[in-house]
Amino acid sequence: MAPGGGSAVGELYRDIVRIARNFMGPAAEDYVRRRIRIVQQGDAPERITGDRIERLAAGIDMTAKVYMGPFKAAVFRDAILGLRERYPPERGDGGAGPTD
Amino acid sequence: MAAPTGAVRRRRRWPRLSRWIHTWRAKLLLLLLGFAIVPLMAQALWDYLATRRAFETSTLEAMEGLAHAKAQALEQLTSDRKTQVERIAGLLTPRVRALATAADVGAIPRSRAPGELPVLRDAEALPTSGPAAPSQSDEAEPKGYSAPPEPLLQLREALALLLWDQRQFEELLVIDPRGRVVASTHKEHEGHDAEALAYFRGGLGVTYVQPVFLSPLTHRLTLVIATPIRDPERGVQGVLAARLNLESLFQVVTETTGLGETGETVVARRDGDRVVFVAPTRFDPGAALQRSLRVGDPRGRPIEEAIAGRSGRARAHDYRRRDVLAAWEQVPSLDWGLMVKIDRSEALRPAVDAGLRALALAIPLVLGVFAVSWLASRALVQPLVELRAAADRISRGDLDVALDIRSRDEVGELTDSFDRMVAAIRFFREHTRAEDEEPVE
Repeated sequence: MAPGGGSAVGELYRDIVRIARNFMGPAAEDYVRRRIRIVQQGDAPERITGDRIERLAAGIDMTAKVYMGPFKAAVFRDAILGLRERYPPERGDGGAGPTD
Repeated sequence: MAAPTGAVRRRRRWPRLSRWIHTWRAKLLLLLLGFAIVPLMAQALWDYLATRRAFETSTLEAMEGLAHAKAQALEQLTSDRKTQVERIAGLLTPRVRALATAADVGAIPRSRAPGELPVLRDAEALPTSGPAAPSQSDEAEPKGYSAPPEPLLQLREALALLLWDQRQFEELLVIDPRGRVVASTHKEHEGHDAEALAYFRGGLGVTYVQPVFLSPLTHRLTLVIATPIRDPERGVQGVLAARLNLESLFQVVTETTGLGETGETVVARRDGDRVVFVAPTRFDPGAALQRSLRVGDPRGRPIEEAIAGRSGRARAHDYRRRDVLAAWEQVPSLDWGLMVKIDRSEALRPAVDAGLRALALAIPLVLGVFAVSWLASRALVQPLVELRAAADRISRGDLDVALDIRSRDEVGELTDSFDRMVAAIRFFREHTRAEDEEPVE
């Protein structure tokens, strides 16, 4: 695995889906794809990179409360944020972009 | 319609109980109570029974020791009295010889016509205050004597002095070989015929102990020891009979040291088909010769065993029909059976008291265990109850359920799965609805 940008493409996506399954069950992949699409402005969800993680977490924090309790939603968000250690943002990328 | 069965009727009568008893909470509660209380109770019961057995055994051992000690004491007392009587007979031999010699030369009439003689039993009006100090002046002479010869006076004086000195006897009598009372510390008995009496006949050969009997005139119990008066030159010169003071004998029997509040000693002898009590008991002071049991009566079994020469100890029923712990032994010299006993309830009272104290401690303990079990079963089952309620709401279409179960055990894992399921259902429902509402292109 190559942390950071392009070489980790697809791998980060799979990790996000794996975490999401613990909170959303069979709806995890659909949910994640929707959230990533919004974060990446329509780009393929599998191509998500480490610099998008914080935005994705912020979106999860807001929307997951609809499907689960606030405590679990917070745990879900923190679990996604925890991926930053493994997939650090690329230099110069502030992660700017639209949010929900 | 068919009548409802018993089980159905019970279910109808106690529907809530029936429902409750099949819940996990009831099962857990019963399980916890079972594990906590049943071993505790079993252990307590085992200890209680062991303590009772220990008390019973130790009491029987104590009774056995007391029975042996008392039988030995009675045996020793009788042996001492027999020795005393034999010694007195030895001391009296020269005086009896002198009296016989005087009779040979005609100073004393040798015998009286048999028809004129009263029997000794008729003259048992013994003074109840015991023997008086010897005195020459107030002596009343027996019938048939015009004046007391010197040897008779000396014999009487010797008897009186010995009786005064001993205090163990109530009367001393010298009976000649033909059965005539020639001298007595109670002069009214002199001249009476004792030939037919058992102690005279028995005492001619060896030292003889007459069983206890009740004087019909004085209403006092008495026991006679008779021994031959032997002259080395002239053979048996008569019989010395001593009426024993039974006080010390009865003192051994009625002593209650070590017998608590209900213990007592029973002594009895066999008389035909009856077992007759020969001494007072603690709870029946008038038992001597007045109370008896039929031979073969279960209440008399221990004492019968003792009379037959067998010793032992056991739980039994006494003459008062009480459940007792008893030990028994024979007193061979008196041909008595001796039984020492104590009420079983008293012997086991310390064990029962200890059991009650343990129970008093156990009740709050059991209540505490019950309360803890109740709370524990509730804590274990409550998440399941919440999950069931949540599933129930979802099944009715209400997805707005929030479970607040934070547990790391299997129930926590089940709750997580449930939460995932709910989240997925919510997600799919929301987006399916959204897609349905989108206009078809």
